[in-house]
Amino acid sequence: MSYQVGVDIGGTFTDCVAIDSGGNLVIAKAPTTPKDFNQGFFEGLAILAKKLGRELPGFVAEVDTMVLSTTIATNIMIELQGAKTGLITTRGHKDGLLMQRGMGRTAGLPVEQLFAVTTTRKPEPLVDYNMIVEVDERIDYAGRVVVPLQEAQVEDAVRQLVGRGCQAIAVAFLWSFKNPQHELAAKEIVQGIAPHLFVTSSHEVSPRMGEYERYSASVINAYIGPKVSRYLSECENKLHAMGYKSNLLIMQCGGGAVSVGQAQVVPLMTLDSGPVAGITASQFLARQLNHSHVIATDMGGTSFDVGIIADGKTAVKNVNVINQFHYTIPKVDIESIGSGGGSVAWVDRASGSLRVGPQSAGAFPGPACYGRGGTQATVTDANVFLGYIRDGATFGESITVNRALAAQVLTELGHQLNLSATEVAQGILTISNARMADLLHRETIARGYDPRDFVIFSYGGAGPLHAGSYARALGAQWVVVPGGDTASVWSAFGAAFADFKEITERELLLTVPFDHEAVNQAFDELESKAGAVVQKQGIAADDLVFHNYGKFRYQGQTHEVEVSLPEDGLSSSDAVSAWVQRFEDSYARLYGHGAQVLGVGIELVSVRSEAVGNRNLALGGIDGAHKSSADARLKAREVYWQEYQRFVVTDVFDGLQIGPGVDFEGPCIVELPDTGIVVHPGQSFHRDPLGNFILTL
Amino acid sequence: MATVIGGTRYWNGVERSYIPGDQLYIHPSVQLHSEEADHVDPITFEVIRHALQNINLEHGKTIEKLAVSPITLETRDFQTVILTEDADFVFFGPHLQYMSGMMDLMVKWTLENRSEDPGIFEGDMFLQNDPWVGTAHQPDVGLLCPVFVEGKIFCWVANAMHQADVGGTTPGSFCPDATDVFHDPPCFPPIKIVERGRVVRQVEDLYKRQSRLPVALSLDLRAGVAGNHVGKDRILELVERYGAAVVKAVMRRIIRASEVALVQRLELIPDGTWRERAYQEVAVTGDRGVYQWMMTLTKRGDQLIFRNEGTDPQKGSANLPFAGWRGAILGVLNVLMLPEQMGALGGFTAFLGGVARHCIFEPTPGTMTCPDFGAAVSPAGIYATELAIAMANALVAKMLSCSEALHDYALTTGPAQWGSTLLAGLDQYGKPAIVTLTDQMIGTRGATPKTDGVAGDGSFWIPEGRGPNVEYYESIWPVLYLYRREHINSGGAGRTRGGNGGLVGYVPYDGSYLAVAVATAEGVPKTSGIAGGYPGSCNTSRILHNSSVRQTMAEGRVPQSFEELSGLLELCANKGLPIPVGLSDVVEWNWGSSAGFGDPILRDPTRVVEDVRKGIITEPFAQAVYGVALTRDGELDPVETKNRRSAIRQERLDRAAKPLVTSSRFYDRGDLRILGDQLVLVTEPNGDKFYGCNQCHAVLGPATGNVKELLSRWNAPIAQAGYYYGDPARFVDVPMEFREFYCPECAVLLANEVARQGDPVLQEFELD
Repeated sequence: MSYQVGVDIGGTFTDCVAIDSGGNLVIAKAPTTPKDFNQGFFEGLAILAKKLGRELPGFVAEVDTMVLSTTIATNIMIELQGAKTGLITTRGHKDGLLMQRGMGRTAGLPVEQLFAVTTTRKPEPLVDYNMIVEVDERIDYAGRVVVPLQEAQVEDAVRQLVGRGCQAIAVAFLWSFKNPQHELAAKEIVQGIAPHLFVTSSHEVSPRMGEYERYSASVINAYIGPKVSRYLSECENKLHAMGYKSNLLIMQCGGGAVSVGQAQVVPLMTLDSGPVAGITASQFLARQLNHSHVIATDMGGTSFDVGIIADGKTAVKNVNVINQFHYTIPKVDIESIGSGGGSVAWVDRASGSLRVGPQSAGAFPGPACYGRGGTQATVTDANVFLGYIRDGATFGESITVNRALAAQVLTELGHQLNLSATEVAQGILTISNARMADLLHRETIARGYDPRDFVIFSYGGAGPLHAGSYARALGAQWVVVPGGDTASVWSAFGAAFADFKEITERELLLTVPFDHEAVNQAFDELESKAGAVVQKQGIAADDLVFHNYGKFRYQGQTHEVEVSLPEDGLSSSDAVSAWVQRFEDSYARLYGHGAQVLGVGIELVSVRSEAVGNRNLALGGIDGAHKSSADARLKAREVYWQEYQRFVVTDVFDGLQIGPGVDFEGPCIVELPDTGIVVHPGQSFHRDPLGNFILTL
Repeated sequence: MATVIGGTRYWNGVERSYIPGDQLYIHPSVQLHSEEADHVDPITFEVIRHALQNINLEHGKTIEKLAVSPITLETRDFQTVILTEDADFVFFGPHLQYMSGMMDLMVKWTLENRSEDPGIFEGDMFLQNDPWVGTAHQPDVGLLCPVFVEGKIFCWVANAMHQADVGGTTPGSFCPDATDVFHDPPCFPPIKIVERGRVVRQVEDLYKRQSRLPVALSLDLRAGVAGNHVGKDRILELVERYGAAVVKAVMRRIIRASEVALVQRLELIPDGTWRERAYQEVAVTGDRGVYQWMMTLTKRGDQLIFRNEGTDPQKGSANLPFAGWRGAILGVLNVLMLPEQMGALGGFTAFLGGVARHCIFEPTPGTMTCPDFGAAVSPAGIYATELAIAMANALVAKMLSCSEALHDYALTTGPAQWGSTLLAGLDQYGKPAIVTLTDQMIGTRGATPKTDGVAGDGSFWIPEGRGPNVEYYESIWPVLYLYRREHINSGGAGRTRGGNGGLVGYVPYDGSYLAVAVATAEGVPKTSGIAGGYPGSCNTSRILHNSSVRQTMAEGRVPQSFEELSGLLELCANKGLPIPVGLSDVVEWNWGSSAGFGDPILRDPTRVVEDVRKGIITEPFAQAVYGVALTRDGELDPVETKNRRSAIRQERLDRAAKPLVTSSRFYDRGDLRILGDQLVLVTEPNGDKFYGCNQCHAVLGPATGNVKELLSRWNAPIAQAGYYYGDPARFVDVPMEFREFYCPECAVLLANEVARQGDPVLQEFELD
């Protein structure tokens, strides 16, 4: 037997999924061990092996491909436990990184904090002031050398930084993405003097215009680099020692997986790879279910994350934010708002209205109903009070839900608003569902799509409880809750099915009409570079596909619209016109026909090539066609339905005991490990042959 | 109000600035949709409130994506708004805050003056940039869009964007040499540019024809149109879903909530009057005058009344239209007084039926901050608007620092001018370019009584603003940056210090026929320090002509200061004539810093040492201004620091004129209120009040008049105001001085001010 394995090391649990050659699936969960992530990783694998009746080494030796997504980079950033980092940069520009274009105070903050000038701060820099050293060198906007690199100064800089205890160095010069010559030379000098140091250069991390975000990307890369690299090597070595024969693959934030060697060059690509793996899983499932337009929604304890899959593809965002630092890297676009199970409800005194979030009760003390000292009503308390979550339900090993505690805080909140606990609880859900629906609406409309054309995928601990409501507000017809127990290990599932992927990009800045040969040449180079990386994984030429894109804009704009290259490429100037037409059509779709201006030049800003190595994996069906609804029925309980304005004794089912094919009418509750599906009156659901729960609105 | 002559029509937006009355006069052919539901539950309220807020933000995002003017894009020099049917604020975006002063005025004027002819219909939009109707200067162009429900105006969505060029004598449309409005860019009072859904071509052509960059105007106009469409469509979706009466009730309640929040905040502030005085030098190219600006804030109960009485008559191009002055104040209030309302600023301005407004403006017409028609105003965006913002900032800081509950929220003054150089000519692609460098957006933040200011922390009055990347500017414009860095020693010194400003040096690069069309330079400090803190720095622009920069670079060095180069130095004048520059010239300019709070010699010496380590100040500066000595290893020398600080106190007393009072000490005598930092107002059990110094507990004197008259005073040269100040005689003929006011006993610096020699000492506050 051979297996495909996906592992997602998350903040709390390390989730593992193994799929055998028949498409059958086994999952395992182990606590994440932040002091040594490998401990939790191998413990998870051991549980998998045990479930398959195998010893760990024997099992590992039979694994065909193992893909890992890990939170290690995110952890380093949150705990600020990265390497002591040095920056070597162009003379005259050392403050650029620290000034953050003046955006540091507000970067990534919700609107609630934008105006709070006296209570919000710029983040502490990742690089100390005395760890930034300038050297004489200069390249201009056209890539021409204006001041040659003063190599002796670089040597001095490295010695100075090493003397100050530097553990990683980023080399970041102006215009290096146009002409990398100086960065390459400086990097070589660093490697010569301090071969033990992790060193990175800005153009290899992010070959895009805009020095602050590029420098920031390279600095974050250096900051997380040594630890991530070391960890990945150790992990892969240990696997090999157990008999694993392939490369360990690492999930990256652009979607898809790369080898450890590749990930070690740009470990920044592993940042937030867990949530991206969740989108990858959705993308895979969407393909299986033949849905081309999907909104993947993940509602956890503190946030609601949304990824859009349109025409089977995910959108990519170039400028991202972590810890109030902007950085450029192509990353699957996941928008997030502070709306989760732990979001706190409160009364705005000035308007006398109820607000929900963005503050969260966090993991500790968490919602009041957890009985760990929480005194503020949260979304989870509302769900418990209204009966969507069972009184006495357990989460993990230590949390047992107590409805009386939820009732108490909701009643107190209600007093402030002259509302009953029930009204407040329903109000909390209405507000949080509306906020989520607003985000989904915005994310689809802003991309020029009609939200009603999308199927909603819902996962995460709190998602399926709410999906029926926010999907209805959006006008969607179906909600898919990933089936079996994969939903609880969704990112690991995504990692297991991830394709090999390498993204390459280049800044061109050409004015239309441009020479199609020049662009073809750029694509050829990008494809051969990206293709080589993917083919190293043993992907057959037939299974290698390229997705090529160009970013266009009207002259003068800074915002670009990305459009895919026509399938037959750029064979002639006519093909250029067709490609440009795609841009103009997209622009009109996004901003209305009135927004286009005739007679204004159009520019091709950059091109991007994605080499995707298809692993041709498929999923088997679930067992249990023989099961009837009676097998799944649990004790009915009182549940509040807004549609009836009262509590009603409602059917409850054990989701995992439901077989495919049977239709259930709402209202009812479907309980799943760690979450539940709320099926409202007028909605129905069934389980499909793959085990997914399909809610029809 | 002394200036209401002949009723509301006096302020008609034609001869004088437009100030609407409590009732609007709208032609009956235009109906307003005013019905509102009696009751909206707190849940529905929140759902719709959140949606309205997001709609306004989405409107802004649309403009960010589609606009082309680099100023609009990089500085967020635009604004979006949702207004009620009669143009009161519902939501105002996190973009340029001073535009708050104009958005409602433009729409109210349009309702009063365009409802009969040409009429206001569904699908229309009006364009407007007339400063007397309501804009800070002609480049800030408004686009107003009524939203109709059932044939009546239900509400308005509108935006205003700074345009790269709308005409006038100077490329970029900041015209320092304009002696009157006819040298300025043209003013368009509200004109229908979109009629029933279509852009009116002939109007667009008229508008574009005035500009050096007509294509950019067209693109930005479409960005504005698209933004308004987004706002309008989403509001109509809400109306369809919840009903017009419910959505309207939510809009009104948002305004009421903003009002309630404001009143609650005002209850924490003592009644009184606060004053700010500033001097703007050089009214127009070639002028050498100094002009007094006054801003007075009276807080009485739940009202804030702003006046400009005492401001000099309108002059040259240094004026600020009323809408800009009002916007400067509202923008500051919005951010510093009601941040949690997130742009719902209706509580300040709305006339809430029967109750007087909470924020009242009583300008004196014909002055530099409320000029009558005819005055040139186009450069306001560089000089006058920022000065008004800084004055409002200082006033609010002074007021909050007298409130026990809000004391720690007092934010010191940010830059009172917008530093930049504006280069015009042909770019590296052979096309006409107007290079408006907005690096000041990188910004600086002021201090609060507990926290230091921060360099590179944006401008508080553009919360979502951002500075440019060097690479972006070099890719579109003919410049090559030699350096752009934190301007060491520039932050106003204080017990908590202001954030540093920034310094930029560049060479004109690859372009031709280039000239520095506008360069900012000043000699009179305007960024007032608070409670004894020192002012923020001034703007200086200088050019090194025919320099050795090319040779130096060829030799492998990127020069970092003029001192490393040879060449002919030219110091730029304030509002000077364009200066031709060549490819071997170097241009250097800076953006100003923020002011300090409290006396620098009271600053925690360890923080001073930290500042030296981080390159924020130099060691000599630490010693001279903060009285902090460092050892050879860069550690604190506590003994020498103590000596140095004692010496500074002695020097102060030696050179100051002492008042004729004999002081005694107060300890535990009555109720104590902090006024700023070390100055206190003590109310004795018998009701008597006196001023005291909280450092040495000296009784300064009875709390009847201007406390500064009770202090030791040194009339210092302007250079004393900060590290980069020199002799203002380079700019003006009138002698200026910097006055420091010390406790006569312990010599702690309690206040300072800039003044023309002979001007009376400013009474900064009077508590009721």
